[in-house]
Amino acid sequence: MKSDSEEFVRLLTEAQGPVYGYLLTLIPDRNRARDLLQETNITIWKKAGTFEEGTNFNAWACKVAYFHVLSFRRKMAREKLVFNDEILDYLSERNDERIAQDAAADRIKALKSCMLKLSENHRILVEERYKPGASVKKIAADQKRTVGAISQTLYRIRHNLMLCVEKTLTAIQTS
Amino acid sequence: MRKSEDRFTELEILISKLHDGVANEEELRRIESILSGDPEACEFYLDYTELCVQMDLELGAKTPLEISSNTVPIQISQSTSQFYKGQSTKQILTPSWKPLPWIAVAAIVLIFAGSLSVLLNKRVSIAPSEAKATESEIITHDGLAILMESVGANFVDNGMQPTKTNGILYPGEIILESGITAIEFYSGARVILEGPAIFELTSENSAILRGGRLRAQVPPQACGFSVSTPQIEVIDLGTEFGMNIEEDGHLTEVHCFSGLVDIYEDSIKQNSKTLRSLQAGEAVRIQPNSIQKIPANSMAFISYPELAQTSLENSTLRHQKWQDLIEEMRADEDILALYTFDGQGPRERSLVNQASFQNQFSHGAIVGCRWTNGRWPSKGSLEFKSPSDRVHFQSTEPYQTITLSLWIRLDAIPRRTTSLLSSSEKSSNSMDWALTPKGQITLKIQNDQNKRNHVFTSSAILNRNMLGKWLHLVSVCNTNEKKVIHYLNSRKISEHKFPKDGLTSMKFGNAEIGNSSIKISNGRTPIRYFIGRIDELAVFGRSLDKNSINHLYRIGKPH
Repeated sequence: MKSDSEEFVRLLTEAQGPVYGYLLTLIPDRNRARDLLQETNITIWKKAGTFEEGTNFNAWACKVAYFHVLSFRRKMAREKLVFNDEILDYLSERNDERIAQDAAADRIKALKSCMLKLSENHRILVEERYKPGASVKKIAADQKRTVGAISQTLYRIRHNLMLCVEKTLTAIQTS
Repeated sequence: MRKSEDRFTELEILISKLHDGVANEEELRRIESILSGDPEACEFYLDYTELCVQMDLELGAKTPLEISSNTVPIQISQSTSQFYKGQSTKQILTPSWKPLPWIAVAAIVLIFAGSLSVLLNKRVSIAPSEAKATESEIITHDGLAILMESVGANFVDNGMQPTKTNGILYPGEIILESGITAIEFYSGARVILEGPAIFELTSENSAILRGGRLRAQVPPQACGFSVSTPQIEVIDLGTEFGMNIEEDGHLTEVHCFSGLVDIYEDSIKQNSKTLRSLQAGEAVRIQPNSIQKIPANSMAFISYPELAQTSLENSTLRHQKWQDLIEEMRADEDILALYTFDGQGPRERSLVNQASFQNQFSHGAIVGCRWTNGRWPSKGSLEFKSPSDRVHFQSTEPYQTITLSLWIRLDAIPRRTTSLLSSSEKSSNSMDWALTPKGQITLKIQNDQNKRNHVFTSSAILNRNMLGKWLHLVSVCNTNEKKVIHYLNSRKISEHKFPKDGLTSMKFGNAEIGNSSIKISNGRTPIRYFIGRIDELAVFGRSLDKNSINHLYRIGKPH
């Protein structure tokens, strides 16, 4: 497939979410995952011709991403906050399978409806948290609260969202 | 519901902190230890991360995801592309996180369009789903070379090509972290690559060595075989030579062992002018700004006889270690059946059960299958490739706890249910162990009344990358603890709960390895033969734990 074809641009655009998610699973650091996404995008452009039309683009893109994760790991072997090989391999494998199952659409729908149910304060906090360049430390400093307190609140919000998503999904599946 | 289970509370708190960037090293290691060997915890981690990612994408920075493809500018001004050409791609894309501007993306396309035109025209086998199997099989003709033999080779999968022994190689990079591998180009040129090495195949008669050491043998038919490095291009004129790149490409050595080798400076402005020719026994060491003549040292590069010797020693050693393991297994008082497929003549039609204590499983009667090589060339295995192929055995006792351990080599991804081991007919507690067309491992057991069966099916775990590789399948069935666990290559794949009652034991009866005679409701027998090789089946009368299974796998795996 040609890297300047509209179809390729569309596939690459749509793959950004899944590939970012895939990277974040393996390298649980937002900034690094995003850097790796950028590098992965470059490789995908370079290797556009090797993508076989009709096959699963996201799965292919994730394989490219995995290569970047491995090379990142090699560079960062001594650095902290990187999973060991066994976990990395397993998570990557499971991720491939999950991507192949392509079940994300329902979850996104459920999440959207659950986010509408958040209280005003919580919604604002979550929005602050996911702003570009935001960090828990920065939010804590701005709000004059401790990092632990913010992190605890975010934990509770996500916990409730997760329960809500599960509930919504069950409702979708049984309806 | 899994999410609300208390068992993951600690994990959830830790992942939440990790995701918020406030977890410390100790907490990360704790997450690792919780995830290790616990597929459900891993699923929880994946679900949680997925939620975080979706929140991030919903609320966070505009990623390219949110830029519609309709906004891609078709025309790119020359000045813009020139501007980006002056920078490295890293510089273009890295300054913190910003939406990837399409103008930059387009510039990348321009930058790479020229140099990658070769790559873009090649197709590489990526087979993400079984459904595409037919297409992938067709494109194997795009291959450039084949991996003939590997010793202790550890490849890093860059997602661009299948690797491993007898794997076809397509245009693209091979990253060999360690070990030795022998590659044969379709042109006839042969290369021994020693890891760590990065080697990119560019055509049937050319490659790029980015790091590492190789020895090339070039028959007259492949005259002109070339290997480029970041600094030079070596063109062989029908001979044998060695190359070595160290210090991140700053030191390159070329050794000519026989015949003649031309070395070209790989630079456009020099118009590829000849740098020098090397005769047999000559070598050069090339560093930035210096070229030094040195004597060729053939001993520094692994030769074919040495590779063959190492390979043989390696496989003989592994085979011997496995034989020690078999002795250990024979001494296990719970071993019920141990079909080792080892040390039997090519005309023998009986598969010997080596279990010495028990006499509960008969020897096997081989039907159709032929003897061939097993995990090591010196070990036997049986090849299954037609609907008649099977091995019959008998075992009349019922068992409350069973561990099945099987080594198989799949030669095709099953498009139908493929039997591993199955009772020949349905009766109370009869069993059926098989692979599904979705690539799952499944164990079916008839209930005590022979009225219905209970099915324990893993997630989909087999894929085309596993073809031609030896795989270790283990399933544990424990009616006392009321659970079934499936393992692949010592990794726990799934765990299933038993029904409360109605299933108290498992029985083989008249049974078959690699096939099944079980009839369906219309009285006919569906085709279920296994396609590939089987070279060990062990049945234990207890549940083996993860460590024991890991022990069997570690010593039993071919490399």
